[in-house]
Amino acid sequence: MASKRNVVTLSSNVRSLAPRQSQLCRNQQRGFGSLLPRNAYDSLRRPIHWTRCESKPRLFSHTTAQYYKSVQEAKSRHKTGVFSWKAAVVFVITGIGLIIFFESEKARLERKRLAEQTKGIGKPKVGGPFHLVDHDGNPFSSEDMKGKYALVYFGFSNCPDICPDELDKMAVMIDLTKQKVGNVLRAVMLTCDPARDSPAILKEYLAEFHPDIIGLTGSYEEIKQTCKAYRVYFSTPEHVKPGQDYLVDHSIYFYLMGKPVQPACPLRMPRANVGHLDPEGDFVEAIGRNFTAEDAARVITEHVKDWKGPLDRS
Amino acid sequence: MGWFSSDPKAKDAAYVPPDREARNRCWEARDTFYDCLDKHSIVNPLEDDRTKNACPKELAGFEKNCASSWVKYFQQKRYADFRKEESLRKLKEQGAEFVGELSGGPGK
Repeated sequence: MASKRNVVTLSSNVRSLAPRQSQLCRNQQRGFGSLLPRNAYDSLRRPIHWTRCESKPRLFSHTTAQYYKSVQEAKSRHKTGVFSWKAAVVFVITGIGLIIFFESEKARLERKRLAEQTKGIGKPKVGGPFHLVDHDGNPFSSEDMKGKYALVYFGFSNCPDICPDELDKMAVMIDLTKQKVGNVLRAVMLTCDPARDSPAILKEYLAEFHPDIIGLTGSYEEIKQTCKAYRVYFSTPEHVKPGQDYLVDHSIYFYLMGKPVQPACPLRMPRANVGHLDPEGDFVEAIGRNFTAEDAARVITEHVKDWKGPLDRS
Repeated sequence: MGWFSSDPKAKDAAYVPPDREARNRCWEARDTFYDCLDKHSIVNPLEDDRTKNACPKELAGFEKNCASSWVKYFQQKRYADFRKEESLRKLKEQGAEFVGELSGGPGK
């Protein structure tokens, strides 16, 4: 009986202490009131015992002070600590997610580095202004390439085996790119044989491969200058006798032109007001013969996806 | 032909680009010719004296279906390809390993 009374007095002592401590506690918590939502504030208050209130209230105290539904649960939690199957699953999923993210980010940075590396400082290393004629006989200059990415190929209509193969590949690349990222590519074939490849001949020749391919020709001097700017070697004789049968030896590359990297310095942006928006026609990547059409299309679509600037998709 | 040399239109009139069909015809004739050369183990048809006697029919078909520049090109190419393969084989025998194309390949 006596012991029971003792307990009662003890509990009444605790009760008499409690309001003062919770008052103190509330005072301390008031500083966090602006940071926390109302219900978070309540949950902070509920499980805290008066001893805890002496120190600074802990933000996530409600996660540690848990009530277990059964003894078994409490025991198993005691045994495993914070580890549980739920935590393991979350850990593994987050880990996989992070690995995938880092891998894709690594690949993106590698492409960015490549694009920046090939960009050169000041003047682009590959490509440059040109003034030629398209297969309909209309003037076509390097300005007309802007707005979209451009895929440039150098060839000639009397090409025995490599160019037709490459142009068939180009057609597949155009279709695959269109499928994946829309109409963002301008495909151009520049002839290295201006003496024979007139606009009409180019039109007839290219129609067999893909309707999107624009054939470009011009005077011998203009073609020579353009090939030089694109670092393309070609061996067309300057003075050809009519009807003379000859071949042209030339470099075999697809050049992907565009500007996938936004300028780091905003001061370089004012060009945007000219109307010809990015991609601005800088050299991006050379695609060699060893690329399959699928490989090439993948490279192109990845660059297009990286590009965050305006892009003509019409 | 000399009459037209001053006339620029003559150039276009004289030259017709080969279409897909013409190219395929030429490639077929070339392959038939190549097969015949293989049979007689002729590697360099342009400089081998046996060519005309060994494959006269195939050579005629080849010349008929392909432009003369192509005929010359494909025969040179056959020899160049053979030499390339030969030197690659020799390098491999010496223990060389293929490390990939020099100009950036597709990457993965």
